[in-house]
Amino acid sequence: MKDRSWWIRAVSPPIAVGAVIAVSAVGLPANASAPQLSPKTAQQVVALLANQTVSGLSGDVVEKSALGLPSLPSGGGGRSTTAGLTGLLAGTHSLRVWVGKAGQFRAQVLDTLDETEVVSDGTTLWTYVYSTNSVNRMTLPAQHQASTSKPSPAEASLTPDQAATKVLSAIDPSTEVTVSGTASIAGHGAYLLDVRPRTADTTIGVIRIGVDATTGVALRVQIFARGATSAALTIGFTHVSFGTVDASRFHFTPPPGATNTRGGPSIVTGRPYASEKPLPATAPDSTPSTQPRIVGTGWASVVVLPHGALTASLPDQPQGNQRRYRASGPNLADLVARAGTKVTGGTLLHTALINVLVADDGRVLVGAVPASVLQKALTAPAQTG
Amino acid sequence: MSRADGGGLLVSELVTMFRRRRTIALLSVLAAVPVLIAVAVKLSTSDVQPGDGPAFLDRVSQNGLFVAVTALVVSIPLFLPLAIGVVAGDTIAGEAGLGTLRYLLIAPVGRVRLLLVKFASSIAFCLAATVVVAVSGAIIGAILFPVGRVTLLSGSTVSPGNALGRAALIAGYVTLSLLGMTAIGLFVSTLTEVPVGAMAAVVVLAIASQILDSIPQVSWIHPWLFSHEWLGFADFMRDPISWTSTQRDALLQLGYVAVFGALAYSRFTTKDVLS
Repeated sequence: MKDRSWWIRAVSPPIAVGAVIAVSAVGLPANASAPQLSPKTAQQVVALLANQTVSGLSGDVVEKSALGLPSLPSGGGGRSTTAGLTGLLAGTHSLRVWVGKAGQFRAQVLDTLDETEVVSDGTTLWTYVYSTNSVNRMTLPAQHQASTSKPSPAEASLTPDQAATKVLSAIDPSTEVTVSGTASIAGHGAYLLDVRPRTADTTIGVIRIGVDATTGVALRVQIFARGATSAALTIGFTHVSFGTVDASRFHFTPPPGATNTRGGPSIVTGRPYASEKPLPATAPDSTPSTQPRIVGTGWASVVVLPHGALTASLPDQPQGNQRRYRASGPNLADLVARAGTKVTGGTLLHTALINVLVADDGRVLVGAVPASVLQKALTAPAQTG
Repeated sequence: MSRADGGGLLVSELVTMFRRRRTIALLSVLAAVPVLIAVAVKLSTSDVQPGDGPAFLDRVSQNGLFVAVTALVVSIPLFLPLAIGVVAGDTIAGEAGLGTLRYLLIAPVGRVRLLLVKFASSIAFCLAATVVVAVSGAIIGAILFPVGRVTLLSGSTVSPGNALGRAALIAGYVTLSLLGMTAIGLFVSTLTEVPVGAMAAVVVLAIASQILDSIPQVSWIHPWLFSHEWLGFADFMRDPISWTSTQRDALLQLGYVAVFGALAYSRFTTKDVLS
C-alpha cells in the first residue's frame, strides 16, 4: 500500500491538465467586465442602431429559449426533433447568419444531422428543411422590397438623431427607452438599450438590445419576463465579422427531389404534410368571424383566434415518457391540453413570456400578457383588429 | 535504437491485431451494416418517407453515397463503440489474461512504450473501423443506386468528388470522436486481467454516456460527455463547412485522452504483473 500516495501524486497533475482542457472545451463565460465606451443617450443609441454603416455581416448566433415549455430528450443517436423554425421555441440552438444589402440574408439553423435554411435575395424568400426535404418559396411583397432598399423621402430628410428622437417621442407614452450600460458581445463593445413597457398588463419586463458601438448593428436581443433576472429569450452573436458577403450566399437553388411548396405552414413547422393539403384550419362549423382580431392596445394586445383556427403544429414536445409524435405532430390544442392548467373560462398554457388561453368555446387567445388580461379579453366586445 | 524498437513493436502489434480472427470478424460485421441498409432499401417496395428511420435513409434511393452516411449514423451509437470497446478493452487485460504480458515486459520493452503502442494500435483500429463502414457503404451504394450530385444539409449540391473529400473528413472526425473512449478502454484494461470485463465496462460506459446525453434534466453534464459530439460529423455536410464541432470535439477528446491516459499510465506503471 506504500505506493498508493505515489499513485495519487502521479495522477493529480494530469487530471488538472485534463480539467483545464475540458473547461476550455466547454467554454468559459466570456469576459463579463463591461467595456469602457463613451456615454451615450438613448436617442444617440437609437440613432446608431438606425444608421448602421456595414455593407454586410456574417457570424454565428446562439438562440436560447427558457420559456418554460416542456422539452423533449434529443440527440442520443436519434435525429434532432426540432426541424423547422418552431423548434427554436425550446432549448438552445446554433445558427449561422449572413446579411447583405437590400434585404439579402441567409440563416442556417444548425441541428444535429439536420439544418433549416432561410434564404432571401431581397425579392424571393426560400426556406428549406433538410430532414423533410421540403422547400418553400415566397415572393416578398414589393413594398417590403422598397422599404428595405431605400427610405421614404420623409425619412430621408431626417438626420438619424432626429429620426431617433421622433421615434422615441412617439412611443414614449407606452414605452421607456434607456441605456442601461455597456457589455462585450461577441468581442465587440456594445451599448445596452433597454426597452421597457410602462404598462403592468404585459408579461414583458424589458427588451434589452445590445448595439455595437462602432457599427450600430444589433448584436444581441434579450427579452426578460417581468421581474425575472435571467432572460426568457436570448438571441445574439457569439462571433461576428463585418464586410460584404458574396452575393452567391443569398441565392438558393432547390435541390433535386425536394418537395416544393408555396406559402404553406411547413415554413414554420418543417413538416411537409401540412402543405400537401390545405390546412384543416377553419372548421366548417366555426363562428362567423374567422379572422383573428386584436383586443387591447400596445404591449397589452391580445390576439383572439376564432374557434378551430389553430391547427398549426408545434414541435414534438411530449412531456416525460409520453409517446413521440411522428408525422401527425401535436397541435397546439394537444399541447395545451397536456401542459395547460384549467382556469376560469378555459385552459391556460403558461410560459414565461407568452400566455395562451384556449377558451371553452374553442377560441384561442394569445398574448404577451398575464393570464388575467387574457381572461378579461374573453368577454371583450368584438372589434376588428 | 529505441525508436526502431518502438516502431517494430507497433508494426508487430498492428499485424497481430489485424490478423486476429476477432478483428476481422468485427470489421466484417461493420462492413455488413451498410450492405444490410442498402439491400433493405433496395428490396422495399415503398419509398422511405422523409423522417422515417435513421437520418439520411430517405436519401439513399436517390443517391447511393448516402448509404455510407446512413451507415455511420447507425453505427456510431452502438456498433462502433462495441467494436472499439472489444479492441481497447483487450489491449492490456488480454495480454494479462493470456499470461503473455509478463513475457512482453520481460523483453526489453518499457511499460510506457507498450502502453503507447497499445493506444496507437487501438486508434488504428478506430480509423480502420470507420473507413470500413464508409467505404463499404459507398461501394454498395454505388452498386445498387445511382450516384450523382450530393445534396448537403444546407440544400446546395456538390459533385461526387467533393462529397468523397467530405466523407474522408467525416471518417477523420469520427475517429477523432472515438479517441476519448479508446483512452477509457485502455485505462479500464489496465485494471483487470479479465478482458471480457474490460470490454463490457467500456461498452456500458459508452451507452451510459449517450443515455445521459439524451436527458435534458442533466444538460449541464452534456458538454462533458465523451459521446456528446459524436454526431457532429454532420458539420462537414454543411455549406460552408462548419468547424465548430470539430474544435469542441478535439478539445473534449484531448481532455479525455489526457485524463485517462494519465490514469492508465499511473495504474500500469505501478501494477504488479504476476500472471
